[in-house]
Amino acid sequence: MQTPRSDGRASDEHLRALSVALDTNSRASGSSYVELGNTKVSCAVYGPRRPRVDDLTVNTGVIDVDVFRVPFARKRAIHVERGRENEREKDLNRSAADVELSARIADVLRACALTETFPRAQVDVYVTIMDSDGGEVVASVLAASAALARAGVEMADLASACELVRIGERLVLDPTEEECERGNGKVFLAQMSSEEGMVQGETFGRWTADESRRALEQCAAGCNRFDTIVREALAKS
Amino acid sequence: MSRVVAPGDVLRDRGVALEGARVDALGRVRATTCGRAVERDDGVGVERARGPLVVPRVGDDVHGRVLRVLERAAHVDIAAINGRAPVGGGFAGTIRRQDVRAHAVDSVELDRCFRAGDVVRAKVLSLGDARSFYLTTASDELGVVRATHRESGETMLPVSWTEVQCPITGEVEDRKVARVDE
Repeated sequence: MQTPRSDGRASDEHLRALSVALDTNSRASGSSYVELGNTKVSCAVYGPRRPRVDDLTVNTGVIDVDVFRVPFARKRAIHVERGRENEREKDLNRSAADVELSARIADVLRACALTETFPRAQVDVYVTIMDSDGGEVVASVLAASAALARAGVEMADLASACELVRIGERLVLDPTEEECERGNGKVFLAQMSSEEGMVQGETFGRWTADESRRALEQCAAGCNRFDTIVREALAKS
Repeated sequence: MSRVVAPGDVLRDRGVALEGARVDALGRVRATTCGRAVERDDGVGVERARGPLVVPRVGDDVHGRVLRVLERAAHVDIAAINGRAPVGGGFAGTIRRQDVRAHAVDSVELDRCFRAGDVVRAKVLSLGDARSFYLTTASDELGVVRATHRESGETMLPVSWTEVQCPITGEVEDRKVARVDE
């Protein structure tokens, strides 16, 4: 008998409800809005268009990701440098954590997109985190991948993502922020579900080989489930 | 009605991939874009509702505005590719001296072929250098399609392959004129 989770989910393997809306931004080439429980992420993709950087020497297209966090998002990833504590919080919206998040999402998208189909052009992906309650990287990857697909950028496959935390002995799938804080280890997986290829895996904490294998399997199942939901949304629009 | 697909969806277990599709490692044809699957005799592809992406590819027919004419090249802002405008402004194009016309390539004087403000029709020659795509006008139907007289503001009319004339002032200027079929 499992203890119910803090948000009412009965099982450690229950994913939160994922809802996906597409073409939410009429000016963007492609856009999406994703809700995963309380976590809300919106994404707008512009391009492929003229590259901003003037000295592109590669014959493939460039994908640039920028993550912005609204001031009223629940979790403020503030990294305050010494001496800047008095600066207004608004100026610290571009924190170190968000820069890292941008890089992670960009890595996933670059693995999925066929960048050789738009050489010497640039695709700009703007991710806005509107509310954060665990799984913001997951929601961001899902939103960005759907928006990129809507923009018409050719991709090998859609990217999907899922994460879990270990709380004591339990592996808790798709954790909320509160569950993340109670955890002593986390596994994040981004994959291309049709290809069944892992695109990005991140592990925090100490894991045995067996445990991490189980964790990745559960994440993969979660990814497949989210991928199905995203495809349903794409098929309807 | 053909089915709506998303990137990664399998279109055929074996076959030829057309525009909007690719063949994966196991030989299956998969969609690479969102749209409707298009089954043809020679293969299967995917058609986007909004049309293909507007990016310059080698061989594309482009229209652009000349921004600057230098000694060795003319810089063009590509405003339309195969008749469609790219997202968010134009791509950078360059017409080098050797790509202006097909004959007498060594004696080209660029300021007698193009002027800033001209609208030109060109073809994409290559991906070019780091800064812009290389374009060519070395064909009869390529070159200046519209030149405007600096003072009168009137569109100048072509009087030969190499000259245009302002209908108001009568001034004649040199251009590499494109043959426009009515």
